[in-house]
Amino acid sequence: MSKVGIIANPASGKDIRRLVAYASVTNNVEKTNILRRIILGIDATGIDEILMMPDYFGLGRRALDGIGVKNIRANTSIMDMAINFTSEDSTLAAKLMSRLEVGCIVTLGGDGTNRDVAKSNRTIPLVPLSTGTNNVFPVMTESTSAGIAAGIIARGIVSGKKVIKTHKRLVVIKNDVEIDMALIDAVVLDQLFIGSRAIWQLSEVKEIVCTRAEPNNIGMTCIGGNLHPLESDDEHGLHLKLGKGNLKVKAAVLPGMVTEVGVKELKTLEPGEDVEVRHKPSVIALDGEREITVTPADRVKIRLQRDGPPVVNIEKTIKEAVAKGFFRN
Amino acid sequence: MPVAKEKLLDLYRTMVRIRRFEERVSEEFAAGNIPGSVHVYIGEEAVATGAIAHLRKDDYIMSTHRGHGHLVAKGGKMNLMMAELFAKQTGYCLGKGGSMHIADLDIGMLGAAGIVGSGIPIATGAGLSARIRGTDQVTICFFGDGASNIGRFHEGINMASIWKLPVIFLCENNLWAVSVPTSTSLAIQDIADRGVAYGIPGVVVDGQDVMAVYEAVGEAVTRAKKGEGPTLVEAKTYRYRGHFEGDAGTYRPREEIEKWLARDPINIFREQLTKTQMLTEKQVAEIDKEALEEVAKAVQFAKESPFPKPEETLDNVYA
Repeated sequence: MSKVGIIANPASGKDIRRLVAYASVTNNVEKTNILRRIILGIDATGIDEILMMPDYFGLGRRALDGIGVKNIRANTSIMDMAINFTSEDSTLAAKLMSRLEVGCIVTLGGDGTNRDVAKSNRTIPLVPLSTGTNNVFPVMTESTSAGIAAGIIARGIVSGKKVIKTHKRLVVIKNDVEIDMALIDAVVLDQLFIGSRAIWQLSEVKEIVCTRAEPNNIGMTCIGGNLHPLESDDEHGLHLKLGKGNLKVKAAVLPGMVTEVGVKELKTLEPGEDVEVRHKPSVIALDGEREITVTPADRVKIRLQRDGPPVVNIEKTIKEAVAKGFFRN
Repeated sequence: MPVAKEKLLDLYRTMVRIRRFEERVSEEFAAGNIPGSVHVYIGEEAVATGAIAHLRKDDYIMSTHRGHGHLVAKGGKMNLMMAELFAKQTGYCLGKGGSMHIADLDIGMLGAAGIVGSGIPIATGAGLSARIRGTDQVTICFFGDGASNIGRFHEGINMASIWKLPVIFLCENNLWAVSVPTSTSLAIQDIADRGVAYGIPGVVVDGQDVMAVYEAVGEAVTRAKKGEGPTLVEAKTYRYRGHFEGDAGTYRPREEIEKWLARDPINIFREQLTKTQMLTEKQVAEIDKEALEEVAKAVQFAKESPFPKPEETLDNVYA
């Protein structure tokens, strides 16, 4: 039986970056529309079952109301799961979907949403769709195509070896205990508080550890990307220390904000290599959100690992399916 | 830039002062010493504190029926507040306004508003006034989730947006409009989304985290002072008590209340400050003691003050 899971985050895309930069606004009405297109795309591939994460806004319910359950061939439902209105909902949903043996999970949200999903699932392939402008992990693409790609993967129409790649991740170890992880970057800030979570004061950024650094993406990874580009499937990571030094680089650090940044030190990281956090007290932001406070007494290190979640390449998947004649009558 | 230690302690002190004031108001109301109706701010202290910390004395705030916290944060005098609540002649409105009508123009408090949402166009007017007079004063307009569903919200924000007025529309979304939950009164999840309709930024912040409010409103104030126009900030928060004193609030699920009680804004901030060695246990005790003493003096002042005389009933009545 072929199954696809959908995890859509109603809380993504509302933070302070709409005020301090020009980040896009994707309201929940638009997210509902995107979700409808995902469902219809998946359904068109002949999938047997679609499972959706419940959420406080009711994205799944509203999406189904708009389409009409009768118009979907797949058995489509909202999972029976207790929600607590936090990011933990996405983590729990991914865990349950894994138990229910879905063949692919479509995520709708930002880097943070995918990080939450990856906390409990690093085996089921993800089709990550972005709902904003400030993301690296999820892609901005038409959601119907994303749904089709997810359906193709879950049905086993094409070989995963050709179209799925395992992403890297960063593991945060505090006082010898693994406490958290990031998919894209861990940023050490001269800060004491989690506050509004986002990073927009570049003067606070002391160090950046990232799994990838592409010049065409925006955010902290763009700084590294414009000096030493690193693809998502490159086995290395990158470690930068910011401040006055020999290097200066212009980078798009926020939507619409391209600025010059001083870099003191830049080095590539090997898989398994640790970066010790020496700036204390500080706050560590994971995938763009301040998450961890570090006191002077804490011992914290960030480790690059190659065991993140598998990620589906939407374009390649659909092309492979075309080559196999999947779309022909 | 990291916030100065003294500023952080001021934020904490203000939150504690609001909490202790409101706890005593609740007690005095139950004892029958406060006539009329009161709506206490317990649970929402981080919003007023974090937001108003950015204002100068001559900047404005427009408050609501749940306005004691706003006034304390803006520098209101507790003894005059308490006397007003006790309907005494020494109160802010000479004892004739009560909890929902306190104003103090000397500190930029334009007034509380007993009618839901009625403060929004007033705040827009204050913004227009600053524009015409050529000052850099900003106005923070407080309102609740219920107010966001009435016409004045849309009219006031639209006008402020068209004229790029220096107003921060700060929605204190405590999830309940009296006994109506936002889940049944809003077609959207986040009131901040409505900013898009008026071409202004709309952001959601954790209203239980004073630093989250402080950061967001700080950016909104900067934007307003630069002439870039209004901002809609939605603080997700919760009132611990009923809509008004005497309302048992039985319409709210126990689990929901407990979930929010576990995220008490004062506890959260105290923990953050002590963990980062910005605040000691000794200071915690001192701040609490000072707040209790200030409130006790205000109650004593109110109790010892006279009621207005019957023959003064129609004095200062304008409409």
